[in-house]
Amino acid sequence: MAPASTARSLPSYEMDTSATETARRANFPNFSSHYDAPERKWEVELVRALVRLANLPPGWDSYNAPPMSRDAGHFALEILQAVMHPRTPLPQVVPSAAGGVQLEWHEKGVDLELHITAPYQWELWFWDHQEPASEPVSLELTDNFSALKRPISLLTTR
Amino acid sequence: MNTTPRTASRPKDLPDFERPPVNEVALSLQFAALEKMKSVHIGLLWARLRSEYPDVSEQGTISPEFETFGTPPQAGSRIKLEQFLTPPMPRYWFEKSGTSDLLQIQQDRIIHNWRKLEDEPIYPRYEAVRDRFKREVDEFVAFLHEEELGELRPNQCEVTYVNLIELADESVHDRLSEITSLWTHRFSEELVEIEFENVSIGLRFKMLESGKPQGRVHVAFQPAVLKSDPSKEAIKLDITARGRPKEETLDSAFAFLDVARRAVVKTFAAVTTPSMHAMWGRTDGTR
Repeated sequence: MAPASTARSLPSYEMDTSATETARRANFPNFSSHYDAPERKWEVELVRALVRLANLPPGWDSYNAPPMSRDAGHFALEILQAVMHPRTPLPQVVPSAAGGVQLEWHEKGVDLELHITAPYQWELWFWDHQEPASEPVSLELTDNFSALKRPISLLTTR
Repeated sequence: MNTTPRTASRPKDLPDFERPPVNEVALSLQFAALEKMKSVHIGLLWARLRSEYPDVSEQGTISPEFETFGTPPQAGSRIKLEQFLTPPMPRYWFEKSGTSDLLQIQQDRIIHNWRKLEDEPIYPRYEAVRDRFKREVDEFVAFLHEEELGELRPNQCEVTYVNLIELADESVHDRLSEITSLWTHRFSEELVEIEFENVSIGLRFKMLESGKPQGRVHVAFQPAVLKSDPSKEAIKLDITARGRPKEETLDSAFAFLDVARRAVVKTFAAVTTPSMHAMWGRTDGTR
């Protein structure tokens, strides 16, 4: 669970850290350790790609495009951490001229593009080419990520 | 501060306690990062705050938090992007030694904490803390405007209550069942030569409006000891309500804080036992 982020450095009590550490380990049994490395690998690679976009020089597109904003990068990582699985292919990470970031998958018969401009401001474009009756889906999204379940599942399991 | 204080009254239908075990209250607004605001501007801001907060210190930044829905929670710690970016402006603490109030500001957050002190043990109540926070946010917004540093556009609001629960006996960690009905402290007889020590409990609740999630309440019971007397055990009960305001405006943000406070107080009453309510002097009649 998320910590009470604003309640750090508190004055009048100390956590029994040995107990909480034991509790933390108890929540994540030993078998998970076998998967730690691959779970981390996608995260590290995508964080590296986002950092590269945040460090682009202003005007990187030969016009006046700013680098990716930290806010957009934070929210892009939030989305990825909510939906990615160890076997999900990595997206291409592309800067957008508005200071946002696009995450793109074009494989396994799936086209999936996410354009994130700021926290809670993002668009999804999805088309499953292996489903004959399927039509392209285009959505403007905020805090509900459920529209990503099916495309990510197809990319992960197909 | 420029704005005249106006203390709203407490909603009558909220659980109320004469002696709540609250040890700290934090009201926080997270907003679109003010990338033009640098450390050098903090000196200008401090000139406006110095009479109330003569002490300033630098702290590490708090990472952005976003409540989202529609996917199951993933276990494990997460990598944070800012660990790999150029260090941003630090978080600044503004305080006055020996007083309960703390103002915290970083590029994407403003927080007001009320902290229980031995000299100021009485919790002034949410309405007073909120009013003070509102005045400080107004002052911060005026400063941003005058220095042309950008607009404050809140994207996440948070209310945290940290409660420190002590019992008459020094041993508390193995008595959580007296504090919350979530823990029954029942084990089968197979537990031989294995002695129970303590327990931590974490819960998440969705805050709903017309059936749709608008935020989340996080609850954590954890063992702690008092800094003033490390031999004295306590249970630390953190309750945080957090979510996205309907619009990126201050009016919407403070409206969400009020909803979040309501969720925190109701959750506190829901996860603690009637016998503890009696000990804390519950007065609203809904025991």
